[in-house]
Amino acid sequence: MGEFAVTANAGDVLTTIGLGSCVGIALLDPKRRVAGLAHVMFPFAPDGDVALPGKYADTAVGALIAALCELGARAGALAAVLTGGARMFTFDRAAGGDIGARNVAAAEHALAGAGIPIRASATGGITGRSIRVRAGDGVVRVREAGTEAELYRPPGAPDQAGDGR
Amino acid sequence: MPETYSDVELDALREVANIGSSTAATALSSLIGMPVDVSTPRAHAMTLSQAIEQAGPGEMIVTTVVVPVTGDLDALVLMVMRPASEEAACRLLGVVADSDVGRSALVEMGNILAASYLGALSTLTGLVLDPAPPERVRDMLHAVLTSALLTEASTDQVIVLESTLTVAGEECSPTFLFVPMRGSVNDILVRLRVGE
Repeated sequence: MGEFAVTANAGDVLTTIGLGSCVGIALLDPKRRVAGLAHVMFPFAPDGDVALPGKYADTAVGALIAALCELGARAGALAAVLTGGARMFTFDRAAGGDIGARNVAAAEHALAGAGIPIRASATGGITGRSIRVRAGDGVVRVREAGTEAELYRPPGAPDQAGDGR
Repeated sequence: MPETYSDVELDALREVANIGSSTAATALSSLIGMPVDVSTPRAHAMTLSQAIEQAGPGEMIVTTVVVPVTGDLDALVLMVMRPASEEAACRLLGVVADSDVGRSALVEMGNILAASYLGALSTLTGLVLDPAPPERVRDMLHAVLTSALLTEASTDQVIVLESTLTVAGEECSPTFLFVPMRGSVNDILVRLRVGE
């Protein structure tokens, strides 16, 4: 929670479970088989807080891009998948209300600023989600309300023989 | 800078949890007509992320009734139940689980127990603690806890007072979490005469 991970190991599956108001930002460069995933808790980092860039939508995007490029990703080839940002309760503890929606908006804004297209989203609503990102082919699966389904498959991603969909 | 709490302060907070949950246990016992035990309460002082991660497996499905607290303190009371506990509770309350009536009964149970807990704290501290309308959610544990507890102004270090009630001879053991937000802990400690 509040962290991010990147990998260039094709066998790795990056996972974030139990997203409520938090947002999972996945960045993929499927051709180069690198992927990153951040578990964002809040929209904007307070001034001077850079200890955990994965915790805030605005700093998470930059941190993911930098880390992925170090692993060989090409910034221009990166694509994003967003999940989370639900509103599970009607009472609002955060000033400004609905922190889930604000996390999503901040993530979209940061991605737009970095010129990264969002290929798929499973955001908003009232249910929790888990996201699994396969580094080898960039396939993103989401579990929500007891069912799991594929959210995104990069074009040209090879179907793995015997792979359960 | 994360606050740290001394042993004296943590002991005082555990005592708060003890009194609150004992009172809630008595209320539950009256509700279902069976004896209820209380686990030794724990006071965790840690970051919010740690508190949530340690609460249990992130994808575990739980039913949670959340009662926001208003008045002199900003806090939350959460009653967390695994499916087996929920089914047992409904049976003991004489309602069908997974029905509208069953769901309402659980909300009411959470409401009553939270109100007892808060009533005991109020007597102990002299603070006005009023329960706001409860909400019930059934979903992944981490999703529920983050959605209930994360605020933008989160100071990150939180105190979670945790205790589990167990209905004697039944697989019914709701866990109670009392989470004072944003510096409310100090308000409690001051009233208990252990804080600054």
